[in-house]
Amino acid sequence: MSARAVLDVSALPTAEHGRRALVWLGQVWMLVIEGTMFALAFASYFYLRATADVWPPANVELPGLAIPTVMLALFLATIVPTRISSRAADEEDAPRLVRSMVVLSVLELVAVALWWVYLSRLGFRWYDYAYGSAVWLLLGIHTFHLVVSTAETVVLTTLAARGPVTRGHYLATKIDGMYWYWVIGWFIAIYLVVDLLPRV
Amino acid sequence: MTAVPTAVPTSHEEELDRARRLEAAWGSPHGLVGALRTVDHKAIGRRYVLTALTFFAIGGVLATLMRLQLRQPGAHVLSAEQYNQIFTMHGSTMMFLFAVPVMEGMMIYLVPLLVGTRNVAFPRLNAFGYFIYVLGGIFFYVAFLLHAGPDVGWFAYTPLSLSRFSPGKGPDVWAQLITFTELSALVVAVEIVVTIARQRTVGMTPQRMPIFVWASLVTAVMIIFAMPAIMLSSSMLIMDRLVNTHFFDVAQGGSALLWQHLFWFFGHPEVYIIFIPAMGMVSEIVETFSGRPIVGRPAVIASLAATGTLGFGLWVHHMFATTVPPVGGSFFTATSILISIPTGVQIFCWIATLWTGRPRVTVPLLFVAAFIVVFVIGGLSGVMIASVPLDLQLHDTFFIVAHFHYVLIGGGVLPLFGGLYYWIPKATGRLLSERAGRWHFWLWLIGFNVVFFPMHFLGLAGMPRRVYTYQPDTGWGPLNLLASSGVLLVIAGAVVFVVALLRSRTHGAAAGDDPWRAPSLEWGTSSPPPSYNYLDLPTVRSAVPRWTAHADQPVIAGVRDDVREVLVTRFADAQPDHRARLAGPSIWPFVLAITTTVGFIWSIFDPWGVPIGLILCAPPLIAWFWPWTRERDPRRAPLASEAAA
Repeated sequence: MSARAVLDVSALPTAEHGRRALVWLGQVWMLVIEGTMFALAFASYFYLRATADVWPPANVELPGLAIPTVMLALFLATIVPTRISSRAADEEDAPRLVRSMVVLSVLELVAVALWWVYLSRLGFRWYDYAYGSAVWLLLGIHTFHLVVSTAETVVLTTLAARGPVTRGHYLATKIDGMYWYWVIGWFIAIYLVVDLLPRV
Repeated sequence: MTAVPTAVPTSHEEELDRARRLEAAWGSPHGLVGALRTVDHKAIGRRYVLTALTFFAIGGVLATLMRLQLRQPGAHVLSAEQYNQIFTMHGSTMMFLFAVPVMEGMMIYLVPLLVGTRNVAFPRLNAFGYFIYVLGGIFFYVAFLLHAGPDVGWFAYTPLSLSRFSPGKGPDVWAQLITFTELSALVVAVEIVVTIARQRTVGMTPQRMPIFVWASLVTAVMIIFAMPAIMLSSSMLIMDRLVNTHFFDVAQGGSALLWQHLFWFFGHPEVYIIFIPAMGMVSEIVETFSGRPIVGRPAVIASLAATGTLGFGLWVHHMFATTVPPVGGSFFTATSILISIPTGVQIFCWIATLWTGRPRVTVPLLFVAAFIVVFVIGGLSGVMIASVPLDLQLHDTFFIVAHFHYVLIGGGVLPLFGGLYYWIPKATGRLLSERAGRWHFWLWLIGFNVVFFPMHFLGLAGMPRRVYTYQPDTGWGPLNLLASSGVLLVIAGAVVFVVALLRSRTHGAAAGDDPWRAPSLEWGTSSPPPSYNYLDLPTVRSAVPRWTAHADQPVIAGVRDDVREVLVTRFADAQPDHRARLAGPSIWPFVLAITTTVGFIWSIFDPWGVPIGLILCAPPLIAWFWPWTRERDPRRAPLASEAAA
């Protein structure tokens, strides 16, 4: 029998559902990757815009402003339930988490429906000139993240409503919230570049 | 939390008992299905390296075919079409299926050991990344054998790669190979960054991180910012070809040069993604075999970070022959010359370390010496072509072929071989033959230079790259014959390496824990390391922990040994933060890789492959994250308050 020096860490907590969790950091870097992709898609848009003679082409009908403006308001409104659910996760308050997630799910589903209407009413397609390709590239990436993030919220809400709400739910709620903020941020960029910029 | 070290009694029986429990928790499942389920970073790292070396050999066979064709004017080994396919396959294989994956494999194997933890942060993602990589490689070669190989060069410039000029499926196959390999690289990058940020052992502050770990961190961050460019642009290329978008179609308002910008925004950092881990290996080898801490450690680390940053500011130097405005040309010339400074700083630090240490000349150190010589030549020719007027003359000639092989083989492959001779004894428990290693070294050093040095002169004499033949009156025959003859030496060296590797399994001397008297943590565990890496998780208090260890240096206790638990530390001060549970073996990463592959391949033939692929991927994704073991996992167990209720 011999003795050796040890650093005892057994008193440390075993699960984290906040920013200290490994998967939180993993999600941040995943969003950095997706954000880089989005930023380069915007860079491609501006590159094509700079090299084109006319942008948008004369015969192209610009997207209507009404739906995207309503969507912008809707997205900004979702910040409230997202914040509440994230706070509820911090405080491990399951009933408040479920309530806010139900509201958030409904708002996100409305956003998906509005987005579908917006896309189907667009007066040009991806094969209409490089302008159509560049715009639809941005819209396509946004569609992907909007649908995935909404699906995630709905699944999490269903699981949390069925209970029992676990630490895994709290962590997933916070990560889902972060993803949703990210989706909102890029939508604002699309709103400015696709919907507003050609009008000024 | 700041834990106070305390002395506790220990005994051999207690240690054996603990080892048994750890093995039960961390061991990989057996059998073929078990091999598909394993999430051990060492098994996955080994697979990456072996698979990448296999692709390296295949790429070498393609190179040999090209050198046979070019050995004399008017040879008829390959037709023009075959030659185009083979140089495309060779370049794509070497860049996407060998060089980057082999460095990822080394990082996956080594980083957890070097930082003193038991696995990477996201073990199942790690397994998924490997399967995606190997399935992408198999798909690429099956397409090639079915006469659907790409023939548009490894950078697939538009408009050549658009469907008007390249009907058939070749460029689609190429673009989808990119999607496979970059997806794999990106997941590796995320897990390496998180592992380094949060799983370093107690006391391993950023200042004390091994330089290979620093190199891995810089590389992973570079992958995260560079690879999205190629994933995006290869997707845009496929959309131009399949669903009639017009990103690169000038007639419809697109721009062919946009492709070049996006490609090289990825493509130039790619070179450093290969080169920086190799620099990390060189630093580890130089330190160990000099028997002293590396000279100018902060300067070496700063140089890695500077190279990683500057690497994003050079991409236009690949495009000097296009319509780059003069100011842009000057800027990119300046950055291209500037980037030689941090590399120069590192080379001086290594020389100073060797100079002031007591160097032991072993095979790993010989490869480092070869690296310095070959890479400096490649760096100097790089400084030459950083200048726009000279580049315009030499663009697309064999001078460029010579330059980038000096950079990539010199800066990537030679340090890699040094690293393999250095770390294989850790991975297998057997030393490689020193004599065979020296044969390998000399055959490669001489053979490589015989192949590639004449190409500088061929380029200066005007021989363009990517021509399948040339006329006798060009006068290029003798130098081409010389270059082709050097291939024999390179092949001989490769055969010596493979034989030495196989023989070491049966005849190699036992390596023991630390055959090199090395300073870093991985040499403190057995060779090969157990599934749980360390029986006693070490702590550190210097950058060379095994050279400065005191008898009272504490080990970590209180991390559970009956489940897959690791210690998470804080980024800046490397003090304990919490204990986290890592995922165990699972078949679902493999199943997800299969369904992803189906989606990727389907989408080449039909755009519906994208949504169908997404739908196919949903069940394995859900199964992957399903809480199958709710009762054993504290993240998924009901909270105490609810259990009471």
